[in-house]
Amino acid sequence: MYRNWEKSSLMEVLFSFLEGGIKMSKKVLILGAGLGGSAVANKLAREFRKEIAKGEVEITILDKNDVNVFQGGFTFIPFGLYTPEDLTMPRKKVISPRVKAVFGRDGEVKSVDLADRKVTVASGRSYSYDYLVIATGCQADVESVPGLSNDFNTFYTSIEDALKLGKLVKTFDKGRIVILTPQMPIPCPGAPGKFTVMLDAYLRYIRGEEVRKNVEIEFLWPIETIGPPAYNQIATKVFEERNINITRNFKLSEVDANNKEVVGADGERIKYDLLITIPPHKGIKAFSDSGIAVEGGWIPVDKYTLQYRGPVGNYDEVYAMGDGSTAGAVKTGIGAHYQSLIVAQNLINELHGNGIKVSYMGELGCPFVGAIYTPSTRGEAHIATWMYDKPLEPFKPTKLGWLIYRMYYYIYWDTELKALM
Amino acid sequence: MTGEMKEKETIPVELDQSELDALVEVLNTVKFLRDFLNDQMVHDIAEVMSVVFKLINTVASTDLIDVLERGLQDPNLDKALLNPPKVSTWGLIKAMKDEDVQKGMGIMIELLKAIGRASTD
Repeated sequence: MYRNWEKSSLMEVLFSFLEGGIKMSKKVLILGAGLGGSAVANKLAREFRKEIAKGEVEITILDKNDVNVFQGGFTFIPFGLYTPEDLTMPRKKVISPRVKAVFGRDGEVKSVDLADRKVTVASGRSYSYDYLVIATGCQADVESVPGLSNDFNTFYTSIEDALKLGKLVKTFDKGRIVILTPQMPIPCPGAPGKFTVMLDAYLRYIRGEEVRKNVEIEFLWPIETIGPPAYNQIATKVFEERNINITRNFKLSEVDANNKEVVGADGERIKYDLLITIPPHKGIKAFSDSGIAVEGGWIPVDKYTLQYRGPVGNYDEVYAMGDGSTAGAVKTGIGAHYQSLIVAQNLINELHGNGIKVSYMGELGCPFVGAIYTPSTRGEAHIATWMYDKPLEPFKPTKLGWLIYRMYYYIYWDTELKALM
Repeated sequence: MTGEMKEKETIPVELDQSELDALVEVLNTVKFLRDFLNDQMVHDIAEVMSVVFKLINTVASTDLIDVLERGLQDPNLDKALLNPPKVSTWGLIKAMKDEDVQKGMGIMIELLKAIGRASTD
Protein backbone atom coordinates (compact mmCIF):
# COMPACT_ATOMS: atom_id res chain seq x y z
CA MET A 1 0.00 0.00 0.00
CA TYR A 2 2.99 2.32 -0.07
CA ARG A 3 1.67 3.58 -3.39
CA ASN A 4 -0.60 5.81 -1.29
CA TRP A 5 2.52 7.69 -0.27
CA GLU A 6 3.84 8.43 -3.67
CA LYS A 7 2.82 11.32 -5.81
CA SER A 8 -0.63 10.57 -7.08
CA SER A 9 -1.00 9.41 -10.63
CA LEU A 10 -3.93 7.95 -12.49
CA MET A 11 -2.39 4.46 -12.42
CA GLU A 12 -1.81 4.65 -8.67
CA VAL A 13 -5.36 5.78 -8.00
CA LEU A 14 -6.56 2.88 -10.16
CA PHE A 15 -4.34 0.40 -8.28
CA SER A 16 -5.55 1.76 -4.97
CA PHE A 17 -9.17 1.42 -6.10
CA LEU A 18 -8.62 -2.17 -7.25
CA GLU A 19 -6.97 -3.01 -3.92
CA GLY A 20 -10.12 -2.22 -2.01
CA GLY A 21 -11.32 1.25 -2.66
CA ILE A 22 -9.85 4.68 -1.94
CA LYS A 23 -9.46 5.37 1.77
CA MET A 24 -8.91 8.91 2.97
CA SER A 25 -6.39 8.16 5.69
CA LYS A 26 -4.69 10.85 7.75
CA LYS A 27 -0.98 10.74 7.09
CA VAL A 28 1.60 11.55 9.74
CA LEU A 29 5.12 11.76 8.35
CA ILE A 30 8.06 11.78 10.75
CA LEU A 31 11.52 12.79 9.56
CA GLY A 32 14.27 11.22 11.66
CA ALA A 33 14.12 8.00 13.68
CA GLY A 34 16.25 9.08 16.62
CA LEU A 35 14.96 9.50 20.15
CA GLY A 36 12.29 12.12 19.38
CA GLY A 37 11.02 10.68 16.09
CA SER A 38 10.84 7.11 17.41
CA ALA A 39 9.04 8.17 20.58
CA VAL A 40 6.42 10.13 18.59
CA ALA A 41 5.94 7.23 16.16
CA ASN A 42 5.57 4.64 18.92
CA LYS A 43 3.19 6.76 20.99
CA LEU A 44 0.97 7.42 17.97
CA ALA A 45 1.10 3.76 16.91
CA ARG A 46 -0.06 2.72 20.38
CA GLU A 47 -2.86 5.31 20.46
CA PHE A 48 -4.15 4.77 16.91
CA ARG A 49 -3.76 1.02 16.57
CA LYS A 50 -7.44 0.58 15.63
CA GLU A 51 -7.37 3.44 13.14
CA ILE A 52 -4.14 2.11 11.59
CA ALA A 53 -5.72 -1.34 11.23
CA LYS A 54 -8.76 0.23 9.55
CA GLY A 55 -6.56 2.31 7.22
CA GLU A 56 -7.78 5.60 8.70
CA VAL A 57 -4.36 6.70 9.99
CA GLU A 58 -0.93 6.08 8.48
CA ILE A 59 2.30 6.78 10.31
CA THR A 60 5.52 6.79 8.34
CA ILE A 61 9.01 7.44 9.66
CA LEU A 62 11.99 8.19 7.43
CA ASP A 63 15.68 7.89 8.22
CA LYS A 64 18.74 7.18 6.13
CA ASN A 65 20.13 4.74 8.74
CA ASP A 66 18.44 1.57 9.94
CA VAL A 67 20.45 1.45 13.18
CA ASN A 68 19.77 3.74 16.13
CA VAL A 69 22.92 5.04 17.82
CA PHE A 70 22.60 6.54 21.31
CA GLN A 71 24.85 9.59 21.00
CA GLY A 72 24.59 10.48 24.68
CA GLY A 73 26.72 7.46 25.53
CA PHE A 74 29.68 8.46 23.34
CA THR A 75 31.14 10.48 26.26
CA PHE A 76 31.64 7.27 28.25
CA ILE A 77 33.15 5.13 25.48
CA PRO A 78 36.79 6.31 25.82
CA PHE A 79 36.77 5.09 29.42
CA GLY A 80 35.13 1.73 28.66
CA LEU A 81 31.99 2.55 30.64
CA TYR A 82 29.67 1.55 27.78
CA THR A 83 30.33 -0.68 24.80
CA PRO A 84 29.33 -0.09 21.16
CA GLU A 85 26.77 -2.90 21.64
CA ASP A 86 25.20 -0.99 24.56
CA LEU A 87 24.71 2.08 22.38
CA THR A 88 23.36 0.65 19.13
CA MET A 89 20.06 -1.00 18.26
CA PRO A 90 18.46 -1.98 14.92
CA ARG A 91 15.62 0.48 14.41
CA LYS A 92 13.11 -2.21 13.50
CA LYS A 93 13.50 -3.54 17.05
CA VAL A 94 12.44 -0.28 18.66
CA ILE A 95 9.85 1.06 16.21
CA SER A 96 6.38 -0.48 16.29
CA PRO A 97 5.54 -2.66 13.25
CA ARG A 98 2.40 -0.53 12.94
CA VAL A 99 4.66 2.28 11.71
CA LYS A 100 5.86 2.27 8.10
CA ALA A 101 9.60 2.63 8.62
CA VAL A 102 11.62 3.56 5.54
CA PHE A 103 15.42 3.56 5.62
CA GLY A 104 18.27 4.08 3.17
CA ARG A 105 17.96 6.38 0.15
CA ASP A 106 14.18 6.15 0.36
CA GLY A 107 14.42 7.58 3.89
CA GLU A 108 17.10 10.23 3.35
CA VAL A 109 15.41 13.63 3.16
CA LYS A 110 16.57 15.90 0.37
CA SER A 111 13.93 18.61 0.29
CA VAL A 112 10.83 19.77 2.11
CA ASP A 113 8.04 21.81 0.56
CA LEU A 114 5.78 23.01 3.37
CA ALA A 115 3.35 24.78 1.04
CA ASP A 116 2.74 21.64 -1.03
CA ARG A 117 3.06 19.31 1.98
CA LYS A 118 5.66 17.24 0.18
CA VAL A 119 8.97 15.67 1.25
CA THR A 120 11.40 14.37 -1.37
CA VAL A 121 14.12 11.84 -0.56
CA ALA A 122 17.47 10.85 -2.09
CA SER A 123 15.98 8.15 -4.31
CA GLY A 124 13.70 10.71 -5.92
CA ARG A 125 10.56 9.37 -4.26
CA SER A 126 8.25 11.86 -2.60
CA TYR A 127 5.88 11.64 0.34
CA SER A 128 2.80 13.70 1.06
CA TYR A 129 1.45 14.32 4.57
CA ASP A 130 -1.30 15.82 6.65
CA TYR A 131 1.03 16.29 9.63
CA LEU A 132 4.80 16.55 9.53
CA VAL A 133 7.22 16.02 12.43
CA ILE A 134 10.82 17.12 11.91
CA ALA A 135 13.15 15.31 14.31
CA THR A 136 16.34 14.85 12.34
CA GLY A 137 18.80 16.20 14.91
CA CYS A 138 21.91 18.07 13.85
CA GLN A 139 25.35 17.30 12.48
CA ALA A 140 28.97 18.16 13.24
CA ASP A 141 30.58 20.87 11.15
CA VAL A 142 34.32 20.17 11.49
CA GLU A 143 35.25 22.08 8.35
CA SER A 144 33.93 25.36 9.75
CA VAL A 145 36.97 25.61 12.07
CA PRO A 146 40.14 26.38 10.10
CA GLY A 147 42.77 23.67 10.64
CA LEU A 148 40.61 21.48 12.87
CA SER A 149 40.39 18.55 10.44
CA ASN A 150 44.23 18.29 10.54
CA ASP A 151 44.12 17.22 14.20
CA PHE A 152 40.59 16.16 15.01
CA ASN A 153 40.08 13.91 18.02
CA THR A 154 36.64 13.74 19.54
CA PHE A 155 34.11 11.63 21.39
CA TYR A 156 31.22 13.59 19.85
CA THR A 157 30.69 12.35 16.33
CA SER A 158 30.63 8.54 16.30
CA ILE A 159 31.36 5.40 18.29
CA GLU A 160 34.43 4.84 16.09
CA ASP A 161 35.81 8.30 16.90
CA ALA A 162 35.14 7.76 20.61
CA LEU A 163 36.96 4.39 20.52
CA LYS A 164 39.88 6.01 18.70
CA LEU A 165 40.06 8.70 21.38
CA GLY A 166 39.94 5.99 24.05
CA LYS A 167 43.14 4.49 22.61
CA LEU A 168 44.86 7.90 22.74
CA VAL A 169 43.77 8.49 26.34
CA LYS A 170 44.96 5.02 27.40
CA THR A 171 48.51 5.71 26.27
CA PHE A 172 48.83 9.43 27.05
CA ASP A 173 51.46 9.71 29.81
CA LYS A 174 52.73 13.25 29.90
CA GLY A 175 51.91 16.72 28.63
CA ARG A 176 48.91 18.94 28.13
CA ILE A 177 45.45 17.81 27.07
CA VAL A 178 43.29 20.63 25.74
CA ILE A 179 39.52 20.09 25.61
CA LEU A 180 38.21 22.62 23.16
CA THR A 181 34.62 23.72 22.56
CA PRO A 182 34.79 26.38 19.83
CA GLN A 183 31.17 27.55 19.82
CA MET A 184 27.57 27.08 20.89
CA PRO A 185 25.05 25.67 20.29
CA ILE A 186 26.10 22.05 20.55
CA PRO A 187 23.98 19.05 21.45
CA CYS A 188 24.33 18.01 25.09
CA PRO A 189 26.40 21.02 26.25
CA GLY A 190 27.04 19.27 29.57
CA ALA A 191 29.04 16.53 27.83
CA PRO A 192 32.36 18.42 27.49
CA GLY A 193 32.43 19.05 31.25
CA LYS A 194 31.34 15.48 32.05
CA PHE A 195 34.05 14.13 29.78
CA THR A 196 36.68 16.31 31.44
CA VAL A 197 35.77 15.14 34.95
CA MET A 198 35.80 11.52 33.77
CA LEU A 199 39.13 12.03 32.04
CA ASP A 200 40.63 13.38 35.27
CA ALA A 201 39.30 10.40 37.26
CA TYR A 202 40.48 7.95 34.62
CA LEU A 203 44.02 9.36 34.59
CA ARG A 204 44.15 9.75 38.37
CA TYR A 205 42.59 6.52 39.61
CA ILE A 206 42.70 4.03 36.72
CA ARG A 207 46.01 5.00 35.11
CA GLY A 208 47.48 6.11 38.46
CA GLU A 209 48.24 9.30 40.38
CA GLU A 210 51.72 9.52 38.82
CA VAL A 211 50.24 9.81 35.33
CA ARG A 212 47.79 12.49 36.44
CA LYS A 213 50.64 14.52 38.00
CA ASN A 214 52.34 14.60 34.61
CA VAL A 215 49.23 15.65 32.70
CA GLU A 216 47.84 19.16 32.56
CA ILE A 217 44.15 19.45 31.60
CA GLU A 218 42.96 22.68 30.01
CA PHE A 219 39.25 23.30 29.34
CA LEU A 220 38.57 25.97 26.73
CA TRP A 221 34.96 27.13 26.87
CA PRO A 222 33.36 29.62 24.43
CA ILE A 223 30.99 31.38 26.87
CA GLU A 224 31.09 32.59 30.47
CA THR A 225 29.13 29.92 32.32
CA ILE A 226 29.17 26.14 32.13
CA GLY A 227 25.40 25.67 32.08
CA PRO A 228 22.90 27.53 34.31
CA PRO A 229 24.23 29.22 37.50
CA ALA A 230 23.73 26.19 39.79
CA TYR A 231 25.38 23.88 37.25
CA ASN A 232 28.21 26.35 36.71
CA GLN A 233 28.76 26.61 40.45
CA ILE A 234 29.23 22.88 41.01
CA ALA A 235 31.20 22.38 37.77
CA THR A 236 33.59 25.19 38.72
CA LYS A 237 34.06 23.74 42.22
CA VAL A 238 34.78 20.22 40.91
CA PHE A 239 37.17 21.52 38.22
CA GLU A 240 39.09 23.53 40.81
CA GLU A 241 39.32 20.58 43.20
CA ARG A 242 40.65 18.34 40.39
CA ASN A 243 43.20 20.86 39.16
CA ILE A 244 41.53 21.37 35.78
CA ASN A 245 42.19 24.81 34.26
CA ILE A 246 39.19 26.62 32.77
CA THR A 247 39.48 29.38 30.20
CA ARG A 248 36.06 30.98 29.74
CA ASN A 249 34.89 33.08 26.78
CA PHE A 250 37.59 31.55 24.61
CA LYS A 251 37.02 32.61 21.01
CA LEU A 252 38.78 30.30 18.59
CA SER A 253 40.43 31.50 15.42
CA GLU A 254 42.10 28.31 14.16
CA VAL A 255 43.87 25.09 15.03
CA ASP A 256 47.54 25.09 14.06
CA ALA A 257 48.16 21.35 13.87
CA ASN A 258 51.77 21.69 12.65
CA ASN A 259 52.81 23.54 15.81
CA LYS A 260 50.23 21.79 17.99
CA GLU A 261 48.64 25.07 19.03
CA VAL A 262 45.12 26.40 19.40
CA VAL A 263 44.94 30.01 18.24
CA GLY A 264 42.46 32.41 19.85
CA ALA A 265 40.73 35.30 18.08
CA ASP A 266 42.99 37.71 19.98
CA GLY A 267 46.10 35.92 18.71
CA GLU A 268 46.73 33.99 21.93
CA ARG A 269 48.39 30.65 21.20
CA ILE A 270 47.77 27.70 23.52
CA LYS A 271 50.06 24.66 23.22
CA TYR A 272 48.70 21.17 23.39
CA ASP A 273 49.98 17.62 23.20
CA LEU A 274 46.55 16.09 22.76
CA LEU A 275 43.66 18.14 21.42
CA ILE A 276 40.12 16.91 22.04
CA THR A 277 37.50 18.98 20.26
CA ILE A 278 33.75 19.25 20.49
CA PRO A 279 33.02 20.41 16.93
CA PRO A 280 30.52 23.13 16.03
CA HIS A 281 27.14 21.77 14.93
CA LYS A 282 24.56 22.83 12.39
CA GLY A 283 21.16 21.74 11.18
CA ILE A 284 20.52 19.35 8.29
CA LYS A 285 21.52 20.75 4.89
CA ALA A 286 18.29 19.65 3.20
CA PHE A 287 16.34 22.11 5.38
CA SER A 288 18.62 25.05 4.60
CA ASP A 289 18.46 24.14 0.91
CA SER A 290 14.65 24.06 1.14
CA GLY A 291 14.61 27.51 2.71
CA ILE A 292 12.68 26.41 5.80
CA ALA A 293 15.54 26.82 8.32
CA VAL A 294 17.04 29.87 9.99
CA GLU A 295 20.77 30.62 10.21
CA GLY A 296 22.71 27.56 11.29
CA GLY A 297 20.16 25.26 9.67
CA TRP A 298 17.89 25.17 12.74
CA ILE A 299 14.14 24.70 12.30
CA PRO A 300 12.32 27.56 14.07
CA VAL A 301 9.33 26.70 16.23
CA ASP A 302 7.00 28.27 18.75
CA LYS A 303 8.74 27.51 22.06
CA TYR A 304 5.53 26.19 23.65
CA THR A 305 3.56 24.50 20.86
CA LEU A 306 6.65 23.35 18.89
CA GLN A 307 4.79 24.23 15.68
CA TYR A 308 6.74 25.62 12.74
CA ARG A 309 7.16 29.39 12.74
CA GLY A 310 9.77 30.18 10.14
CA PRO A 311 10.99 32.03 7.09
CA VAL A 312 8.37 30.48 4.79
CA GLY A 313 5.48 31.25 7.12
CA ASN A 314 3.61 29.60 9.96
CA TYR A 315 2.51 25.98 9.55
CA ASP A 316 0.42 24.55 12.38
CA GLU A 317 0.53 21.04 10.90
CA VAL A 318 4.33 21.00 11.06
CA TYR A 319 6.13 20.26 14.32
CA ALA A 320 9.87 20.28 14.97
CA MET A 321 11.73 19.12 18.03
CA GLY A 322 15.06 18.01 19.42
CA ASP A 323 18.59 19.05 18.49
CA GLY A 324 17.67 20.28 15.01
CA SER A 325 15.05 22.77 16.19
CA THR A 326 15.07 26.00 18.17
CA ALA A 327 12.94 24.42 20.92
CA GLY A 328 14.26 24.42 24.46
CA ALA A 329 16.90 26.52 26.16
CA VAL A 330 19.65 24.02 25.29
CA LYS A 331 19.83 20.92 23.12
CA THR A 332 19.64 17.79 25.26
CA GLY A 333 18.28 14.29 24.80
CA ILE A 334 16.13 14.66 27.89
CA GLY A 335 14.65 17.86 26.43
CA ALA A 336 13.94 16.07 23.13
CA HIS A 337 12.17 13.35 25.08
CA TYR A 338 9.86 15.85 26.82
CA GLN A 339 9.22 17.58 23.49
CA SER A 340 8.37 14.29 21.75
CA LEU A 341 5.65 13.56 24.31
CA ILE A 342 4.10 17.00 23.71
CA VAL A 343 4.27 16.71 19.92
CA ALA A 344 2.73 13.23 20.05
CA GLN A 345 -0.04 14.35 22.41
CA ASN A 346 -0.91 17.34 20.23
CA LEU A 347 -1.05 15.08 17.17
CA ILE A 348 -3.30 12.69 19.09
CA ASN A 349 -5.55 15.61 20.03
CA GLU A 350 -5.57 16.90 16.44
CA LEU A 351 -6.44 13.51 14.99
CA HIS A 352 -9.21 13.03 17.55
CA GLY A 353 -10.34 16.57 16.79
CA ASN A 354 -10.93 17.40 20.46
CA GLY A 355 -9.49 20.92 20.18
CA ILE A 356 -7.18 20.51 23.19
CA LYS A 357 -3.58 21.71 23.06
CA VAL A 358 -0.76 20.87 25.44
CA SER A 359 2.42 22.91 25.75
CA TYR A 360 6.10 22.20 26.17
CA MET A 361 7.16 24.03 29.31
CA GLY A 362 10.87 23.91 28.57
CA GLU A 363 11.58 20.81 30.63
CA LEU A 364 15.09 19.53 30.04
CA GLY A 365 17.84 17.74 31.81
CA CYS A 366 21.60 17.79 31.72
CA PRO A 367 23.37 15.13 33.79
CA PHE A 368 26.39 16.19 35.82
CA VAL A 369 29.10 13.71 36.72
CA GLY A 370 31.23 14.37 39.79
CA ALA A 371 33.16 11.10 39.74
CA ILE A 372 33.22 7.74 37.95
CA TYR A 373 33.32 4.36 39.66
CA THR A 374 36.97 3.49 40.34
CA PRO A 375 38.84 1.66 43.12
CA SER A 376 39.08 5.03 44.90
CA THR A 377 35.77 6.72 44.01
CA ARG A 378 32.25 5.39 44.18
CA GLY A 379 30.79 7.32 41.25
CA GLU A 380 28.73 10.47 41.72
CA ALA A 381 26.20 12.10 39.42
CA HIS A 382 23.05 14.16 39.33
CA ILE A 383 20.50 14.57 36.55
CA ALA A 384 19.98 18.33 36.72
CA THR A 385 16.59 19.44 35.41
CA TRP A 386 15.00 22.83 34.84
CA MET A 387 12.28 24.55 32.81
CA TYR A 388 11.75 27.78 30.88
CA ASP A 389 10.84 29.83 33.94
CA LYS A 390 11.95 27.53 36.73
CA PRO A 391 15.72 27.70 37.11
CA LEU A 392 17.89 24.80 38.15
CA GLU A 393 18.23 24.55 41.92
CA PRO A 394 21.59 23.95 43.64
CA PHE A 395 22.41 20.25 43.74
CA LYS A 396 25.06 17.79 44.84
CA PRO A 397 26.04 14.74 42.79
CA THR A 398 25.40 11.47 44.65
CA LYS A 399 26.16 7.79 44.26
CA LEU A 400 22.48 6.95 43.78
CA GLY A 401 22.41 9.61 41.07
CA TRP A 402 25.36 7.88 39.41
CA LEU A 403 23.66 4.46 39.54
CA ILE A 404 20.42 5.86 38.09
CA TYR A 405 22.35 7.64 35.36
CA ARG A 406 24.27 4.46 34.47
CA MET A 407 21.01 2.51 34.35
CA TYR A 408 19.33 5.10 32.13
CA TYR A 409 21.53 4.20 29.15
CA TYR A 410 20.60 0.53 29.39
CA ILE A 411 16.84 0.97 29.72
CA TYR A 412 16.65 3.84 27.21
CA TRP A 413 15.66 1.53 24.33
CA ASP A 414 12.64 0.12 26.12
CA THR A 415 11.46 3.25 27.91
CA GLU A 416 12.22 6.54 26.15
CA LEU A 417 12.20 5.32 22.55
CA LYS A 418 8.90 3.57 23.15
CA ALA A 419 7.49 6.63 24.97
CA LEU A 420 6.67 4.55 28.03
CA MET A 421 7.89 7.26 30.43
CA MET B 1 32.36 32.48 38.17
CA THR B 2 29.15 34.27 37.32
CA GLY B 3 25.43 33.86 37.96
CA GLU B 4 23.40 34.98 40.96
CA MET B 5 21.74 32.27 43.01
CA LYS B 6 18.89 32.76 45.46
CA GLU B 7 19.14 31.46 49.05
CA LYS B 8 17.12 28.28 49.46
CA GLU B 9 14.01 28.61 51.61
CA THR B 10 13.83 26.07 54.48
CA ILE B 11 10.65 24.88 56.19
CA PRO B 12 10.76 23.28 59.68
CA VAL B 13 9.05 19.86 59.87
CA GLU B 14 7.83 18.34 63.14
CA LEU B 15 8.37 14.60 63.65
CA ASP B 16 7.69 12.46 66.72
CA GLN B 17 10.14 9.76 67.84
CA SER B 18 8.41 6.87 66.05
CA GLU B 19 8.25 8.80 62.76
CA LEU B 20 11.90 9.72 63.17
CA ASP B 21 12.76 6.06 63.83
CA ALA B 22 10.93 5.01 60.66
CA LEU B 23 12.69 7.69 58.68
CA VAL B 24 16.10 6.60 59.97
CA GLU B 25 15.23 3.01 59.06
CA VAL B 26 14.29 4.01 55.52
CA LEU B 27 17.49 6.04 55.18
CA ASN B 28 19.57 3.12 56.48
CA THR B 29 17.95 0.82 53.92
CA VAL B 30 18.61 3.27 51.11
CA LYS B 31 22.20 3.67 52.32
CA PHE B 32 22.64 -0.09 52.39
CA LEU B 33 21.32 -0.41 48.83
CA ARG B 34 23.43 2.51 47.66
CA ASP B 35 26.60 1.03 49.12
CA PHE B 36 25.78 -2.49 47.98
CA LEU B 37 25.16 -1.69 44.31
CA ASN B 38 27.94 -1.13 41.82
CA ASP B 39 28.10 -0.41 38.06
CA GLN B 40 28.05 -4.06 37.03
CA MET B 41 25.03 -4.85 39.23
CA VAL B 42 23.19 -1.88 37.77
CA HIS B 43 23.92 -3.21 34.28
CA ASP B 44 22.54 -6.64 35.17
CA ILE B 45 19.45 -5.20 36.90
CA ALA B 46 18.83 -2.99 33.87
CA GLU B 47 18.83 -6.02 31.57
CA VAL B 48 16.08 -7.61 33.64
CA MET B 49 14.19 -4.31 33.79
CA SER B 50 14.35 -4.03 30.00
CA VAL B 51 12.46 -7.30 29.71
CA VAL B 52 9.84 -5.99 32.15
CA PHE B 53 9.49 -2.79 30.10
CA LYS B 54 9.03 -4.88 26.94
CA LEU B 55 6.21 -6.74 28.67
CA ILE B 56 4.66 -3.46 29.83
CA ASN B 57 4.82 -2.11 26.28
CA THR B 58 3.31 -5.31 24.92
CA VAL B 59 0.42 -5.20 27.36
CA ALA B 60 -0.12 -1.46 26.89
CA SER B 61 -0.03 -1.65 23.10
CA THR B 62 -2.65 -4.24 22.21
CA ASP B 63 -6.43 -4.54 22.33
CA LEU B 64 -5.97 -8.26 22.87
CA ILE B 65 -5.64 -7.42 26.57
CA ASP B 66 -9.12 -5.81 26.51
CA VAL B 67 -10.47 -8.88 24.69
CA LEU B 68 -8.82 -11.19 27.23
CA GLU B 69 -10.07 -9.04 30.11
CA ARG B 70 -13.67 -9.49 28.96
CA GLY B 71 -13.23 -13.05 27.70
CA LEU B 72 -11.71 -14.32 30.93
CA GLN B 73 -14.73 -12.96 32.87
CA ASP B 74 -17.28 -14.64 30.60
CA PRO B 75 -19.95 -16.36 32.78
CA ASN B 76 -19.90 -19.42 30.46
CA LEU B 77 -16.17 -19.76 31.07
CA ASP B 78 -16.84 -19.51 34.84
CA LYS B 79 -19.36 -22.33 34.51
CA ALA B 80 -16.91 -24.44 32.45
CA LEU B 81 -14.21 -23.94 35.07
CA LEU B 82 -16.59 -25.24 37.77
CA ASN B 83 -17.23 -28.40 35.79
CA PRO B 84 -14.88 -28.68 32.78
CA PRO B 85 -16.71 -30.31 29.87
CA LYS B 86 -14.97 -33.19 28.12
CA VAL B 87 -14.69 -32.45 24.40
CA SER B 88 -14.12 -35.26 21.89
CA THR B 89 -12.73 -34.87 18.36
CA TRP B 90 -16.31 -34.87 17.10
CA GLY B 91 -17.19 -32.26 19.75
CA LEU B 92 -14.30 -30.15 18.51
CA ILE B 93 -15.53 -30.37 14.93
CA LYS B 94 -19.04 -29.43 16.07
CA ALA B 95 -17.68 -26.50 18.11
CA MET B 96 -15.96 -25.18 15.00
CA LYS B 97 -19.40 -24.47 13.53
CA ASP B 98 -19.99 -21.98 16.37
CA GLU B 99 -19.45 -18.39 15.20
CA ASP B 100 -17.67 -17.33 18.43
CA VAL B 101 -15.26 -20.28 18.15
CA GLN B 102 -14.60 -19.33 14.54
CA LYS B 103 -13.82 -15.74 15.56
CA GLY B 104 -11.52 -16.94 18.35
CA MET B 105 -9.73 -19.23 15.91
CA GLY B 106 -9.40 -16.37 13.46
CA ILE B 107 -7.64 -14.31 16.13
CA MET B 108 -5.40 -17.23 17.12
CA ILE B 109 -4.41 -17.88 13.49
CA GLU B 110 -3.58 -14.20 12.95
CA LEU B 111 -1.59 -14.27 16.21
CA LEU B 112 0.34 -17.29 14.97
CA LYS B 113 1.05 -15.55 11.66
CA ALA B 114 2.19 -12.38 13.47
CA ILE B 115 4.51 -14.38 15.74
CA GLY B 116 5.93 -16.10 12.67
CA ARG B 117 6.51 -12.79 10.90
CA ALA B 118 8.10 -11.20 13.99
CA SER B 119 10.42 -14.18 14.48
CA THR B 120 11.82 -13.87 10.98
CA ASP B 121 12.17 -10.05 11.02
